[in-house]
Amino acid sequence: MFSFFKRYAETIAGVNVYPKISLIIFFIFFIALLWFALTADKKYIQEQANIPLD
Amino acid sequence: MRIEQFKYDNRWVRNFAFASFLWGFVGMLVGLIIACQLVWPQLNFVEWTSFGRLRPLHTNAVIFAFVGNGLFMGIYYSLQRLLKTRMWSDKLSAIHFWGWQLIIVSAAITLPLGITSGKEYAELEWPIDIAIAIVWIVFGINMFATIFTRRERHLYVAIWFYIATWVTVTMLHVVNSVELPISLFKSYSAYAGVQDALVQWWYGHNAVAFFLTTPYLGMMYYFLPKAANRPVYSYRLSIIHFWALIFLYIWAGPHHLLYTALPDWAQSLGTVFSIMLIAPSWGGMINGLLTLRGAWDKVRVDPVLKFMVVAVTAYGMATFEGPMLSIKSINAISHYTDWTIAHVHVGALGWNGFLTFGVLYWLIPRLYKTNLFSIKLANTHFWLGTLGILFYVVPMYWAGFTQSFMWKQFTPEGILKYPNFLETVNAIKPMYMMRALGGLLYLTGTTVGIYNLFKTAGQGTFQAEEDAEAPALEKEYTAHSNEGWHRLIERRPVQMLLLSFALVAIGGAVELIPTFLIESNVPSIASVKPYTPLELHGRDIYIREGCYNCHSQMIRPFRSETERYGEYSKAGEFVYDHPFQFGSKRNGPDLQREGGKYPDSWHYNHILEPSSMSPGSIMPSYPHIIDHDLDVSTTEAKISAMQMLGVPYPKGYEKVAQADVDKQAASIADNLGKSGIKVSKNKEVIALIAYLQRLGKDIKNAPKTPEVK
Repeated sequence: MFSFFKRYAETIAGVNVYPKISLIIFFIFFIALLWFALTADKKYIQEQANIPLD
Repeated sequence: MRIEQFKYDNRWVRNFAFASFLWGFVGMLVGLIIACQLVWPQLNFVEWTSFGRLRPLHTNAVIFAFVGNGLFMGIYYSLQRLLKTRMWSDKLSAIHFWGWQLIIVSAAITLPLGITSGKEYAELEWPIDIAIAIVWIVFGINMFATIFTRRERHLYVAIWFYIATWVTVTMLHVVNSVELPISLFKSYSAYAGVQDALVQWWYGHNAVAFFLTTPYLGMMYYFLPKAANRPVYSYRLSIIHFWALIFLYIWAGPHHLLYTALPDWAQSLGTVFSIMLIAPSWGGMINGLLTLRGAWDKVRVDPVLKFMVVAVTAYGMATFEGPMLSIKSINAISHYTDWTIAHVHVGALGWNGFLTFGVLYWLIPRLYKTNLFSIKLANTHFWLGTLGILFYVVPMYWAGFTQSFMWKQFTPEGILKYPNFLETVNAIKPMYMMRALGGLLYLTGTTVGIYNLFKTAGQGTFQAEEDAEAPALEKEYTAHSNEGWHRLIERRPVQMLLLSFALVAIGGAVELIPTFLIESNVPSIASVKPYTPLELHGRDIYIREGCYNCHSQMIRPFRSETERYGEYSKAGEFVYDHPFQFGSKRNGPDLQREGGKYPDSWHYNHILEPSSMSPGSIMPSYPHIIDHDLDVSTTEAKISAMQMLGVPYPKGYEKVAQADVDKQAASIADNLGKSGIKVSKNKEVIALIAYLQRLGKDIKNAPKTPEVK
């Protein structure tokens, strides 16, 4: 029943694609994040920042 | 636009607040007791109050009772105000509150009784694990339903932190708690050895990240601007802080296992992501501190801000130190020493403790419509707490360096300069005394704080229902013209939940799945065999007594360690260890190669009275292990459970295992008899000796070059 957790399972096919996918996800994620944060509308940002003080 | 009248619910905010500081007092008191036990072992008194059982109580109480109730307090208060709506269901709030307190009480009962799963910060046994899951889901339903019925379209960044907290803790708790029960109070981790260690520290590290950090960052982003009466320094920075933090944090777990038998690639991954974590963490700290720009004059007079400034500074220090400790060459010095203990207490006492009290000093007067009873007492608390932190961490840093340098010191002839482990222990006892003094100062401060808060509550009148009004949320919404894509997420809680989950799942999946599925990650060693049933019983006694709280079972590949303890540990040696028992600090020596080091009689006398064999030892004595009969009614269940988890006992062995228990026990009792120790073969001590004598011996039976499949 817990055999899934045992180490006898065979090698995942093409495991070396893992780090490549990770790097790509990583890169895209941070570029997109910076892109958004730096280009966001100033008025919108100010509105958000003031929500706790309303 | 229609203005709606409604009421904020303060009752459960108040209850969580009181629960937080009352449990906080208990957790810190237990901390002080165990600090003293490390100096004066006679304070271990009876079996229920020995160090190995009280230390999990301390860590669980501080993390889940003090900080747990503290974060619920912060979320229940700020969520309603940020969303301009009442908590969705008073009934769910009540179930959440009482359910959580019940879990805490059951932990406070079961841990001293030795009912534990033996995994750090996840010690609670399976029925309590299930209760935690249920109460956590109740909290989640209540929170999300509140978000869905909000009157504010946009979700402020604090709420993102709350959402990420909920989804990640759910994932961590479920994955790490997969265990196979053999009775109401005993279960075995489904994972074994290195894999169990990786899951556990993936959980353990992210419990720090998503239980002690993200909800408190959410609280920082709400309560700090409130207390300073100005918006956060940079909302853009807070967006980057949030996404970068949750994305990076989940990968960092393996830094708890550097130089262990964990596959090297996983260790490196842990290191890289830990170092990157400095960026978002310091971004957050700077954002918090700069929120006070132009308001530093207020920090001089307002105790709330004082507490918050020290809290955020402590956050910055701990999150700088964490990545440094994740560098392998630094970790080689710090790991297993009290440096780690100093590090976590900068976080627990400074960041969590001071932010909790900062929020409490701000919140309680507002809930009771009054002023703080005494600003002077709050300042006293602040200074006692600050001095307490210093008196705690400075001696512990000193102790950590002393330990490490003494362990690694060689003479010019090339032999260990301090071969007796007790030399280190005795060298750092004065530091332990000072640490206890630091703990006492901090606890005194907390007591002053609790008195002040009760007095404040006493002089005011509690306002359970607080009137509020806000325009209803219009169903139709036209977005601004140049709206960024990010806003497609931030006003849609479900998308936010899913994206957060995807981000935290990626890191976990990339680390965990290959470790489980690729055979070469855990090379098997043919001579490593499953434990005998008696050894298995002994192992459960080892777990019950919490031996892993002071003894590691993981020898790192350093000459200083192989000289002292023997051959370094291999991943393949732990494949039958459900759960793993690597440990994380060494108040006593490593036990991985303990088997065969001393005669049975040495162990017997050492368990009965450690200082009789090791003068100056700070280990508790365990007369009850000598007295108690071994419970063999579970032999069959234990073997069956192990078989189910994949341990290769022969088919049908569970039925005949008891005979092997008797045989091995008789031989050990016989052996003890020859040394003049008369002991019945059905005592617990026999099983424990069997286990200790087995430790690390299997690879010695291997052919010269271990067969690696």
